[in-house]
Amino acid sequence: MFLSQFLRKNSASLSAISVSRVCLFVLVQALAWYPVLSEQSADLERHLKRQEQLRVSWQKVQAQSRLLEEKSFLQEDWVTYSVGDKVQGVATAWQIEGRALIKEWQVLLETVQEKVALRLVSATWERGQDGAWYGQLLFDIQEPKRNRAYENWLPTSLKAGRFVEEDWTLVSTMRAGERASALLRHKNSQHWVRQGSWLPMVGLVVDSVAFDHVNLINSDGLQVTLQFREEHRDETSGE
Amino acid sequence: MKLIKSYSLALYSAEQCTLYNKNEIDKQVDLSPQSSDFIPDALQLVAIQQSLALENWAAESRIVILVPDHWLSISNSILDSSTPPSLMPLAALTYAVESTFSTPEMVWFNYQKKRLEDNRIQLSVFACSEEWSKQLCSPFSSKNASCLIVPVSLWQNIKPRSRRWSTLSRHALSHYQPDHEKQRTCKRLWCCLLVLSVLVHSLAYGYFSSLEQRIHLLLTDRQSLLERQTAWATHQDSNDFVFSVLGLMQELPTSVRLVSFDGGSQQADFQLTLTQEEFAYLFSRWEQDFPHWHWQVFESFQAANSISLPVESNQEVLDVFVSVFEKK
Repeated sequence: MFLSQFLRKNSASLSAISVSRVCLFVLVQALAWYPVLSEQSADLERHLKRQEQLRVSWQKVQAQSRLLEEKSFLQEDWVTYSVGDKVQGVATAWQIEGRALIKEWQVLLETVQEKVALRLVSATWERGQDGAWYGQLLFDIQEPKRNRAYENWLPTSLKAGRFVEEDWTLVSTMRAGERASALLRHKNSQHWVRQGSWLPMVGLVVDSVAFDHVNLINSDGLQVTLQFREEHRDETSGE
Repeated sequence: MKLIKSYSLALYSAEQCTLYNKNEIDKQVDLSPQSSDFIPDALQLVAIQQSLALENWAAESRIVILVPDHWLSISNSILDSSTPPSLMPLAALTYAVESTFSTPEMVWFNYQKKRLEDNRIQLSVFACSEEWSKQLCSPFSSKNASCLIVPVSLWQNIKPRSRRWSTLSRHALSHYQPDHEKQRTCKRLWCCLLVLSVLVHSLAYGYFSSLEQRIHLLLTDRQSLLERQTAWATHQDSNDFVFSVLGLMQELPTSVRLVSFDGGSQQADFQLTLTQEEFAYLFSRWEQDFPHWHWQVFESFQAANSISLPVESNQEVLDVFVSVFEKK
């Protein structure tokens, strides 16, 4: 029979109410709320999580700021550092200053970058005679994020020129009053040098000229001495 | 305005019919046992009803008529407890018909169940014929009142506090209503359903709105926290100029000596010692790679330190001062 017929015939029993049907209907209504409530609850969870993240990141920022102010942050004695302006009680700028060899600077700056998140604002570097570098760096303090890329704030790369001793010959030395100069031969060229001269082909500076030897120094402070060789002792100085 | 509608009471006795208003009911109803077993017939009933002072009646739309027990046919019987409750009305009807000698359609009755100690049920049936009950109600029917006929003994059994209209209708005489119980349960269940549905919906909505409120609170909280953080972060402007120039310095070959470097966010100055050839090469490459920077070579003089005789003049070692600006 058709559905309409069936419904008409059994309308009385179908619409009869019983305890089980009441329970069923109430349950259905309760379940109808379930998707709405679960979505709202998930929303709330999401918001809570975001809030927590925000709070945690602010805490990290504050912790970083406190760390930078600590006297024990950097152990090296050749460097001084200080915190600049503060906004909302948290430091925004940091400055570091010191004098050391480039390798020491590299280690220091690597440690700093590992511990805190900074961005370079200005840098002043000065090479000293002894190979040490004076550096003054000013940074903006940033929000500490994980997986920060390493930034190189050093003035030079650390590659050193290769000094092949066989290529160099001390030809002669000369003294004119206070000034001493030396004639060096490198491959096919000869150069008169004196204290402070720069030898570009090997990246060395002439540190001192003595009677029978010449001291060369590189940017790391490494010294090389050129002395007269036995065979060339008798050569006369060229012009 | 009284929320609960009250009812008037009419008490029949052998001599008269007394009418009580709603406020008199609890105090003055005189239920002293009747002096005689006098059962009036139709004409005598009319005479009794003449004594009614209907003019004073504050016409309530409900009236309860108390009838002396001996005016009705009473039958008491004992049933097994195995009798299903749905058959009780039918059993009562049978006893009522027996005692009143009327047809099932014309009998008005009321039955009361009482459970006895040995698990059996005592069934008391109060019955009368329809015309009798119509006559009892007749003085009041003209006022369009709904009336209940209640035996006096049943009235006395009900506690005064529970003498509500609904309770009384359960003790009043009526037609055979087999479905009465079922209908009552049905009504109850529908009520239950309604109440539970409303409860479920209101609870769910309450929970929903509490969640929403919490989210709202969190959002405002977050807003303030974000404001604080951006206030801290915005003073810093992002500028990679000095870092880029420093990068150039780091890429210088070993034949170039960097003497000093001073860079900021807009300008950088540095001093190099290198051969002229090298400088020309580097400078041309820099100008090519960074067209948006403005270069200034301040002084380029021969290094006083070097007195070498170069093979070619471009091998001369120079001290060079360079300033580079970011073009606006």
